[in-house]
Amino acid sequence: MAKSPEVVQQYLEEVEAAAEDVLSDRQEIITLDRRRNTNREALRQLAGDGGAGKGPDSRMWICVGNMFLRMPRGFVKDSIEKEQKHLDTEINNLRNGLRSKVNLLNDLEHKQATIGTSLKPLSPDEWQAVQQVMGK
Amino acid sequence: MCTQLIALEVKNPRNMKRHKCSKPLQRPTKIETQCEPISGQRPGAAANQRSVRLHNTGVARGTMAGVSLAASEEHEMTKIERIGAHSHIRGLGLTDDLTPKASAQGMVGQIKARRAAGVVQNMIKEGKLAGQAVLIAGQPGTGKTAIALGLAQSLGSDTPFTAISASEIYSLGMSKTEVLTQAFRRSIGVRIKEETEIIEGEVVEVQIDRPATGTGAKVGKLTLKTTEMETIYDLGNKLIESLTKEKVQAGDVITIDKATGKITKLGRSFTRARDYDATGPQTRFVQCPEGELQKRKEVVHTVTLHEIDVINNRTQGFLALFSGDTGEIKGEVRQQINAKVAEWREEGKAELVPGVLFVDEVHMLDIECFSFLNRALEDDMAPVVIVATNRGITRIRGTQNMSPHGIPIDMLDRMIIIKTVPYQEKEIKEILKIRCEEEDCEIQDEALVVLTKIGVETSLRYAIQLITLANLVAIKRKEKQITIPDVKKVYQLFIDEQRSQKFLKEYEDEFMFDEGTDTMMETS
Repeated sequence: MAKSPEVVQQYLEEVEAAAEDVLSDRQEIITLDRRRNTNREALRQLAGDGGAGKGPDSRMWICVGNMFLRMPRGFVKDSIEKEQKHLDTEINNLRNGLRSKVNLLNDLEHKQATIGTSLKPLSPDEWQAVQQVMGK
Repeated sequence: MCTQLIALEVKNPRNMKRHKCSKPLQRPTKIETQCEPISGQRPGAAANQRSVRLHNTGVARGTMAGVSLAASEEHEMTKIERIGAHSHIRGLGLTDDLTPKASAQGMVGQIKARRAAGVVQNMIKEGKLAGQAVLIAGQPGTGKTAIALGLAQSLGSDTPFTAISASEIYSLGMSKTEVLTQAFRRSIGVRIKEETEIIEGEVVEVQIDRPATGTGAKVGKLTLKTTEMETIYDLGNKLIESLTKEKVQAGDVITIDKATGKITKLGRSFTRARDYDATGPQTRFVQCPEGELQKRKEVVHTVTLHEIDVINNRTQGFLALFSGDTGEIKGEVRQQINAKVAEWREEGKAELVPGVLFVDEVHMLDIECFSFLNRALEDDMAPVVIVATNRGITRIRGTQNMSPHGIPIDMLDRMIIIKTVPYQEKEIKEILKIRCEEEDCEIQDEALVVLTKIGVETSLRYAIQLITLANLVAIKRKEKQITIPDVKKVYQLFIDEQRSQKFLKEYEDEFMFDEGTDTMMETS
């Protein structure tokens, strides 16, 4: 039975919207991870040679967006660490949400849902034991 | 402290500049549905089909289910897959709505039986048929094994499929029920998920500072990039050591397991393919990874219960695998594993995948086995059991009672019966054609017609056997194609069952130990 163009268009719109949702989340994760990595580099810099022998009150330059600010070292470190934590949870939330979104997309495209993704992962100990079973 | 700087690779000018700003959201033309974090490497593929595995039970002891290791050694049943005769079967040859195609995926004819098998296949996929049995009944050479095999192929690699011949249970080393139990547990998969945080990227630069004194802690830096970003990691002593051990250099694509710090080399980046003029044949080139550097990798694996049994039952490491020692897996081990799997299921960490156990020539099972099967099918961890037989009403092995298919009535009552019917001439021709392709034989059309005639008058199996033989004759004549004289020649050289019987009847007096026609063995 031939479907009317409206039905087809509506279907395609749905699929595209779901796909867009997945793609934008993916891009979001990438952007956040990039931020996470630059933050990590900054923290290393603060802890390493750049920060040797200086107290938490000594001031330093940081670049925020297009602006350079002079801030106390301790404050800078704390706020970056806080941001890192926030980034971690944000990325995790996005990843957990991706599962259902990808499955929804698969469903719309009449593909098989990826199996087993709804399972909870094994703990590292348990996983090591299973690896023995599988001969690695 | 004076440190000597050894840069292993000078930073490549072709490297990306640091990212100025994030790229605008680009929509690739291909919709990517399998996103990295959930990417489904089809799991069971490797896990299901290994035959010999080497490992050490050291760690499994403490962690795996807290399962104690029993003293007895295990004995693995040999799995006989009759690939030769059915190697052309790729599936059931059905369309999406289960309509059988006349000839597809190596399957020809048997429209009704295949359609029925398609329904069974759907039920298995939905997990509805667990604990029931399917009987495929039909005359010899009507495609019973082919249908079971096609069903297995169409279920995909994740669903465990075990094929045994009923005669296999009469082993001297193991009790009949043990063999059956092992076959049962081989057909049940446990799906589990592995989740790891990894850092995946192409190495831009490795830089390791060694103390001039030669000893002491090393420090270093590792620059990694993906298509989207680039970053520098400070390295500790341990990571430096594994980097040197893996001989990681600029241009390699590596993954670092965040939890264990294990480094795996995936290959060399394509963009660096021209760095050296000569590369070893084992050099694998891969694309620079996409997306984020720190990824979450989820891989779903399927292991069979039997595999878990074997490892936990083993005391002497993998040596038991080779010793061929007879032994059975202790009931306690199985119970403990069942308990652990049940615990995992409750915690949402594991799923059971009921697979398929195919028992060929099921009339060879005796009454004890049938009563064992009756009980075993009721277990909540039972696979779908498919049995096949070519017998009509015959004696149940181990009794004096007659029963249809040689299967006790109470067992038959639990079964769905699929019937296969003898092939038509057209179908036989089609099958012979497929087999010719499978065996790399070219055959003249006229010769195929003759061969089909032979197939109709004698048996399909006999005609299939003649293909290879005729091909050998053709090769001897330095011909590429099988022609009518080739078929005729092998038809005269190798007699079929009917002619053999006729010959024996004619000359029965001249054979030793002959007792006349009464005790002629039934061949079908």
